[in-house]
Amino acid sequence: MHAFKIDDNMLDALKELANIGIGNAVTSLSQLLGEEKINMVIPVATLVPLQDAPESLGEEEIPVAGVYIKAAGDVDLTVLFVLSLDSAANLITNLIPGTKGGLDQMGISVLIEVGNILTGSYLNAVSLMTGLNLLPSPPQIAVDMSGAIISTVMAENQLIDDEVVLLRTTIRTMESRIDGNILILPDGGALEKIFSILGLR
Amino acid sequence: MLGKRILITDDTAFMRMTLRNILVKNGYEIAGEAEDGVQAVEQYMIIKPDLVTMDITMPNMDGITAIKKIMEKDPDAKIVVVSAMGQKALVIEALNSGAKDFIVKPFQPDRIVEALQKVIG
Repeated sequence: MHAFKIDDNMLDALKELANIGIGNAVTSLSQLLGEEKINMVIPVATLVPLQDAPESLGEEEIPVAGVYIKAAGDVDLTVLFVLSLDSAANLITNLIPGTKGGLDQMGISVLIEVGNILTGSYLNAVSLMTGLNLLPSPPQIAVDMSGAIISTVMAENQLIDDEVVLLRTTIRTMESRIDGNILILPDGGALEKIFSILGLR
Repeated sequence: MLGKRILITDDTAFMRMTLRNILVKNGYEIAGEAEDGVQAVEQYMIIKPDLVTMDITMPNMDGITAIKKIMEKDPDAKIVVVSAMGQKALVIEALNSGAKDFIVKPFQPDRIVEALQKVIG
């Protein structure tokens, strides 16, 4: 449980904040890829028991590439960008034409930078809307089962509440065949501050 | 712009490569590359570039701190920030620390060239 009850209005507000923030991130990705259109599923905000969070992306046994960035400042939250390995390869070959899209040093660097730019755009938008200062740490990357990556991120966040809010969307590009998931994990203290700013507490 | 020497600072190889390609294509010379603020400060004193491009979010030493340290050593240093973080407070801090311009990623190549031309020609 959190120190306060999270109701549907609060989840709805988080969803809208994510919609705008991730929308900005997707715009940045579109500019990076030179693509006109990237489809984005309207974000879903759910309250999930801590032990169930690793299953939130489904298909736990399939390895994925995950780039995550912890933002600190006025509030703490983590943004995680997850791609299938095929999508990661397509992203790499799109940005470095002529390469095979492998996860060598340069390929990893591409994923890290894309994660950096996506997160930066998201944090810039949230900061503008809420007035909060959100400063990211350098991105981390992991190639593992999605459940393991989420577990790692949660462990590093030292989440103590027995529920966590997950904000999730799926993005899909047309030309480059890139499917990705963006997860935002705010910690309990972040939620209280955000809800207060939004007038919900 | 011919002969102007640039020190590129970014923790990702991909971004250093991207900037390198843009700058070389537009006639700039790459004097060096740094992966973090520590390397940027060290290399600045050795290379004495005409301009530094500086990322903000980096390990070991962030870009704002590096800007301040470089400006302490050389108040005439020319530094342009190139970062994914475009929050107002950060932009103001970078400019107050001595940066001449602030470019938010992703960027069009023209934006980089325009910024450098304005600062060093």
